[in-house]
Parts: sequence; C-alpha cells; structure tokens
Amino acid sequence: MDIEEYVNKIKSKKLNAVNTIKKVISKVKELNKEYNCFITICEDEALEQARLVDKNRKGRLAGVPVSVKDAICVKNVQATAGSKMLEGYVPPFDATVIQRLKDEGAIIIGKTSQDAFGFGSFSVNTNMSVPKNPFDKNRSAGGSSGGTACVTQLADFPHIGIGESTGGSISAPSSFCGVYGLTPTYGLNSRYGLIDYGNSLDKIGPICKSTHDTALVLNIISGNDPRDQTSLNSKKIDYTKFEDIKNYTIGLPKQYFQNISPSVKKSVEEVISVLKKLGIRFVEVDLKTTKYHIPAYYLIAMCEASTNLAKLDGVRYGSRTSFTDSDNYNDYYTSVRSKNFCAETKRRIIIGTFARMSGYRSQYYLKAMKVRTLIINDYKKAFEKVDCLLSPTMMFTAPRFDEIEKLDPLQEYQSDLLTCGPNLAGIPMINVPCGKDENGLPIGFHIIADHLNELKILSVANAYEEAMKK
Amino acid sequence: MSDDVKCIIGLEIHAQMKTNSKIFCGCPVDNNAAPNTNVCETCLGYPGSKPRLNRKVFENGVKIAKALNCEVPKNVFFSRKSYFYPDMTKNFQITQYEIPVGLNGFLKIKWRGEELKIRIRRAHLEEDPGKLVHVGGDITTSKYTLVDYNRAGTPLIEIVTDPDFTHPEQVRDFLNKLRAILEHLNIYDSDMIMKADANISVKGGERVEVKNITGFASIIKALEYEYNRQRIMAKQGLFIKQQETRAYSEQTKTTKPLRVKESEADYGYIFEPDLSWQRMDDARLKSIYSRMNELPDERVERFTKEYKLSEDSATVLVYTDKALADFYEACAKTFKDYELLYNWLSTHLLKCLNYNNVSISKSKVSPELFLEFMKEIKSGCLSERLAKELVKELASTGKPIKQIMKSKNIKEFSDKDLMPIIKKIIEKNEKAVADYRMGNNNSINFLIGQVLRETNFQAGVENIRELIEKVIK
Ligand SMILES: [Zn+2]
Repeated sequence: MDIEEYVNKIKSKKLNAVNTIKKVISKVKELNKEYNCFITICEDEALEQARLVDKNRKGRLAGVPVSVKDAICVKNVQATAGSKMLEGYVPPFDATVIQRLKDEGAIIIGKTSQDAFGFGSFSVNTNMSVPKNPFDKNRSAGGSSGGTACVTQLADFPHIGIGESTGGSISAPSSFCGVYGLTPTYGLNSRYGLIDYGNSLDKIGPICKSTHDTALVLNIISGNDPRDQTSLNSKKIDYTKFEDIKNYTIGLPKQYFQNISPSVKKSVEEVISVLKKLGIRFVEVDLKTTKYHIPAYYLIAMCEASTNLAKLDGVRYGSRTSFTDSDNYNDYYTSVRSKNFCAETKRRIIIGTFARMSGYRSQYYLKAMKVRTLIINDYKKAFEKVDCLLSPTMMFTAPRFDEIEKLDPLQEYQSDLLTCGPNLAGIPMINVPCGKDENGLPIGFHIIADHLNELKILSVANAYEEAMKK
Repeated sequence: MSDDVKCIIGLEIHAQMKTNSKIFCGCPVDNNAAPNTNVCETCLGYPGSKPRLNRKVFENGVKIAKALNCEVPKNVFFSRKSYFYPDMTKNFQITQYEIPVGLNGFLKIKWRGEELKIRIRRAHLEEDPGKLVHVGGDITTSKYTLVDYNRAGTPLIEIVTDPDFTHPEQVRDFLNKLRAILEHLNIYDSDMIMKADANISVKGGERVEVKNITGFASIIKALEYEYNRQRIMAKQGLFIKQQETRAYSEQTKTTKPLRVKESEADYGYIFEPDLSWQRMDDARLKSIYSRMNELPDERVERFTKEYKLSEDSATVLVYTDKALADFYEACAKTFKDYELLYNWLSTHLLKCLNYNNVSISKSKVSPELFLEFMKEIKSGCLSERLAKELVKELASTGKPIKQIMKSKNIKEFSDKDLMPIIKKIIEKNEKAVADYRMGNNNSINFLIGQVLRETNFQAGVENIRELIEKVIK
C-alpha cells in the first residue's frame, strides 16, 4: 500500500489512525530490539497526533507514520543527535519540516539512531545506539542517517523517513538499506530545527520506499522559511508530476567509476542499459576537481562543526557533570565534554579548531572555501551539456562491523568519495536501489542534477523504478 | 593641564544600539526586565535554533557607516568569533570580521581652533553576550555567579579608529560628535551604555591598552589619568618598556595593571554560515540613505540659515544634546525671535536644569510651557531680573508661567498700570528729561531705573522705555 492509498483509507474512515499507529508502535518496538533503529520511540505523542487525525481526517499525509533522524527537533521529544552530550535535551519547538509534516496529518513515531552529530558513514560513531543492516545484522545500515534508512526498509506499513545529509548521510544509508533517499538542493528545505553539523552543507531530505512517496514528501517539506535565512525562495513545483525523460542526456563522470566493487559496477552498468532503452543518451564527463572533494569537504564541515559544538558545555541543557568549588568554568567544560563526546566527535572538534586557527586558517579553511567554488563551477560546466549525472552511490555494499573497526579515520572518510562532491556543491541527488550483490545486500545508484532540478532526478528515478516493475 | 608631551591614542568603541528587538531574534530589548524573561531558543542558542538578521538593526549599521564617511562593501557578511565564556549562549559570538558594514571612514573634529581628521578603520555590528551577576560581591569574592541572558543578542556597534588622537581632550570632542551622530540617527540615547578599549602611549614609550572602560565620562577620565601618568613618568625619564594592559577603576579613578594571558586569544573566525550575505547594491544603499535622518553637521548648517544663528550657537544646540536642538526647533515654530529664544534656552533654562541635574528630555519643562514664558519676556512685561527668577521656578516645578507668577504674587504691569508711575517720575526729574531731549541718551536709562524701582523690579525694561519715549517726545 503506498502512501496515497493509505491516506485515502484514513480520510474515508476505512482505517482508524489510532489503531493503525498502535500497531505500528508495537511493531517498531519489536524491530528496535533487533535493529536498534530508534533512540526514542515517542508513543504518547504519536497517539495524541493520531487522535487528532481521527477527529479531523485531513491532510495529504493523514495518519502516515514518520521516523525522524534524531538531529531534527520534534517539539517535546528528546533530541540527542546521537550523542550522550545531548541526552535529556527536549527542544521546545518543532523543526520547520516537522511542522509542515504535522500540518498535513503526519504522525512522528520516533527519533532514529545516527552517528553522533552526523559524523560518520556507518552510524557507528555514537555513544547512543548503533543501527544494524536490515539484510544482515552483522553489517552497517550506513550513516549517518542509518536508523531512518533501516526502519524505512523494515517497515511493512506505509512509512516516511526523514534524514539529513551533510556529505552523504542520506545517500549512504539509503544505498546500504535499499531505499530511496533524496538529498535536495541546499536551501530548498528549511534547516530550522536541525541540530547543526556543517551549516553551509546540511540538508534535510526524505528517505522512502518509492520515488512517488519521496516526491510527495518533498512537495510538503520544501519551500521558503523566514526562520532560516539560507532557505531559498524558489518557485513551488509539484514533484510528483514526473517529466518525460526520453530526450535526457546523462553524464557519466569518469572519476566516479574508479575503484568500484565488481558487483556494484555490474549493477550500475545494467541500470545504464535499462535507461538507454528508455531513450536516454549517455556521455562521459570529466570532473577534474574530484580529487579535492574529500579534503575540501572535511575541512569546511569540521571547521563549522567545531564552532557548532562549542555551545554544548553542559550548562543550559543536555548532560551535566558534578562541579566542585575548586573548578573554574573551563575545568567544568572540559570534564563534561570529555565524558560525553565520543572519539570521532573529539577528533572533528580538534581538527576543525586547528584548521581555523590564525596561522593555519588561510592555508586550510579559507583555501577549502575557495576550492569549493571551483568544485561548484566544475559541476556547473558539466550541466551545460547534460541533464543529470549518474554514478554508483557507494563504491561498495554495506560493510561488516568488524571490517569497519579496522578502518582508520582517513579510510572511513574515503568512503564518501562519490557523495561529498555533490553535497559540497549543494546540488540535489537521489539514491535509487538497483538490485543486490552476491551476499544479498542492496546496491544503489545516484542521479545528480543541477541546483533546483529535483524534478529531473525524480523523473529518472521513477522511470527506472517503473521499468523494473515490468 | 600642561601638555608638553605628545601622546598617541587609538580607540575601540562599543555602543549599544537602540532597538525594539534583538539583532538575531524577535525578543524585546529591555534593560529593566526581570532576569531571563526576554529570551527564546535562538538567543539562548538552543541546538536546532537559527539566527535571523534584524533588518532594521542592519540598516542602522549602514547608516552609521555612512555618517562616519565609511565605504560600505558590496557584500557584507557576518562571522563567528569562538571563545568559551559563561555569559555566552553559543560559545561563539556572531560578529563581523573580514568585511564589516563600514571601512575606511573618518570624522572631523575641531580642537583648539584647528580641524583634525580622525580616521575610522572600521565599523561593525555584533551581538552582546549575556550578563554575569556575581551575587553578594564581585567576581573574586562572590560564592556563586548567576547568568542573565536578557542581554544576549542585544545589538552593538563597534567603531575602531586609527591612532590619530594626540591629546585626551580630542577624544572628548570625538566621542561627543559620535554621540550626537548616533542620537540623530535615533540609534542611541543617553541611557545607553558606551564602552571603550583605548590604546595610549607617549613619545618614547610602548603602548598601554586600557580595557573595558564603561561610560562616556569614564573614558575621558581614564585617558586623562593615563596620559598624565605616562607624561609624568616620561619627564622623569621613565618610559613604558613593554606593551601593557590596564583596567580603569571607577572608584579610585585610576588605572591598574591587568593580568592577562601570555598568548593572545585565538578566535578561529569562520564565516557565519547561518546568515546569508547582504548584497549592498546601489539601489539598496540609496534606499537606506534616503531614510536617513539629518546629521548633526547638516543640522548646524541649517540652523545658521533658517534661524540666523551663529555657527557657535547652532553648535551648542545640536551638540549639547539632540533633545536641546529638538526643543529649540519646537519653540522656533511659533516664536520667531530666534536669538532671544536661543539665549533664554541655552543660557538660562539649561543652566537651571544642569543645576538640578536633569536633562532637557527628562525635564518637566515642555516646549509649550517654555513658549508661554518666552511670550511673557517678549511682551516686555517682565524685568530680566524677575525673568531669571521665574525660569528657575519653571525648571524645577514645570508649572505654567501664569500660575507661577500668580503664586509669587507677581503683578503684570500693563501700560495702564505703568502710565501713572512714568508720569510721576517725569515730573520729578525735569533735568533728566531735558538732558534726554538735548540728546543725552544715557539719561533715559536713569528714568527707566527709577520706574523699575517703583515697580519693585517687576516690569519689563523695553516696555518702560517705549512708554517713556512716547510721553517725552
Ligand atoms: Zn531571543
């Protein structure tokens, strides 16, 4: 049952929201025991919302269960962003996207597991809970929006996931869990209420079971928000009105097909041949700036992150620690932060602080900002000739936890090679599931387009999805 | 003060900006509100909240830049200045670093008849942190400290000059001029807080930074103290050998060395990624400038033309207190003897108010009340001596002049009242009358004096003169 069908049944009183949500809650509690996909399941608030839906029977998402990445604030529900540091922080406000979902009758059922503050690609860099892959519990669900992607795959009921991407945190888990995940143009969806990672990179986006569901959610959550000054004032588009893709030209960045695992490569080659049959023309594209994507991305993201995390000092909210008379405020900050931040969080604070110190600032932070402009121009040049770009989403399928443990930080950062470029450029991308590897693990491909061309990538994704149903 | 030793002073001035709401959220600004009542998720820095720029505050920053003859860059943006301190809600301050709202300006001042150009390096906007309250003492003695976040997010303008001052007196003129500009732009009033950090050195010595001096008067006092200290030391051949940071004490009116960390704080500035760039194209600048109030220098010039005042008089009205110039203009709408109005307002009324220690804007005297008083003077019915008495009463009570006169049993001398007295005096003083008729103008003053004495010095001189002339001629 897709979302529209379900919503119609709620509206015509064929289904009762409270009963449905009760079943959904007991189901996700079961799932959570096995897969750790939630940090908080907000049963009371969800049932309260469901009662309202049964009373009004209104909204484009009436009664639809929604799981939200923990970093996105839901009023009166704890938001830890995956870190013990924020345990007990209960925001007194809704993020704008949450407000928009609630206004359409959607029901927030819980807050999902993630890498602390979004710092990771496998959802293991956290001192809260580590989600497991729906296809193999010894493997990662991807990160950092791992919990959201995991529950979206597992849900046998209509379900919407809300994730957030800074450098690939929607694409990676969507690929590993075999679901659709859209990272929008920077500024299309308001960031108000998102616990910041790298503010100039962060984007909230839907993770769903189909292209159509994804487009429907985007219709609802997108649009200008005066509470976020980086939010765009672009024309409202109906993203469910897919375009005819017959005359599209799609570019294949040659740098994006190197070091790809054989099963992923084979799968994506099959995608290309399916799309060719649908009338799409493919050309090779040369993205010369690719080797700078990872260093530029990590420098900017860490510099911004290290300032964002400064406010977490254990004074106003979240975790506290005991305070002795001999302590001065600096000692207190040090002790509360040492205790509650996990290793990767500390690493990023230290690197980010270093890269913006006077003496290093111009050689790291400012240079990365300049390189970012070059990278954007590189993509812009490509889009003069093609409608979209296509590549594998990840170079490999979901790794085992014991494999992840062996990676050093730089190797982990390398896994973002295909995702962090478009994230840095602020251009939209979608992960589309395309089969499984020899271990039965999902593979995904990426369609990327120029700023505000979400309709193009959704149209390609939908065309592929429809073609595969036949 | 002898000033035979040359000094160099540079200033960094922070002024609170008058505004209804904070710079990055909608919370009201009210220095008297109960602690932590004017706060929201944004000024408390709650995770998930975002700042949004108060457009009016930003435009006021642009107006200040313009008034200080600064360039306004094409793209203005904000930066994050990171440091940990308990009055900070985010442990970074949103400020301006690379590209502030104003660059490379100047302000001209007059000093000992000479015109001096003080260069302005930059003017930038930033948010004030919260306020620490050291309960039952100060930072060293109190057992605990409370934080009031009401002030967090109050807009500040910071103005940095080049080291162009050569005498503390020039700083007084500069600050006075700056205050008048901010007042005229309706960005500042005398209740608000002005703070400064000042660098000062004398020839041959290293510079001393006097940090965090609060209030207009203290800034001048601190600089005078520090100038004299260094000057006297220099005369004895003692020079400051190493750059030093000092603090000014309100109690002792002296400066004392301040212990600071060896290394200068590293603020790790980055661009504020939550606020978009402000594009300052010509159309936007034109629109902001068109909504700019008249600046004090323009007003002085207008006063000399419109009210035929001397430049000095106009300067007194405009630069003493904007409210004084406003008061003058309110009266001048109907009272057309501009010189007489100026004299009574700037000399007499102001003297009384200063004596009572009230400012013109807080005084009980409204322009309407003062106009009534001026009409009495103009009619010639009041002697100067009496008028001076009455203006004191007016300044302290704020009662209508008629009522004051009645309560003091002051009779108004109409022509009808005066005529019999004048006739009597003329009859008694035939010689003086004859002298006057012979062309001795002084003798009329003698006659006027006699009449005044008869009225107990309550009648107006000009009125008496007119009547005497009428009778004798
Ligand atoms: Zn506020």
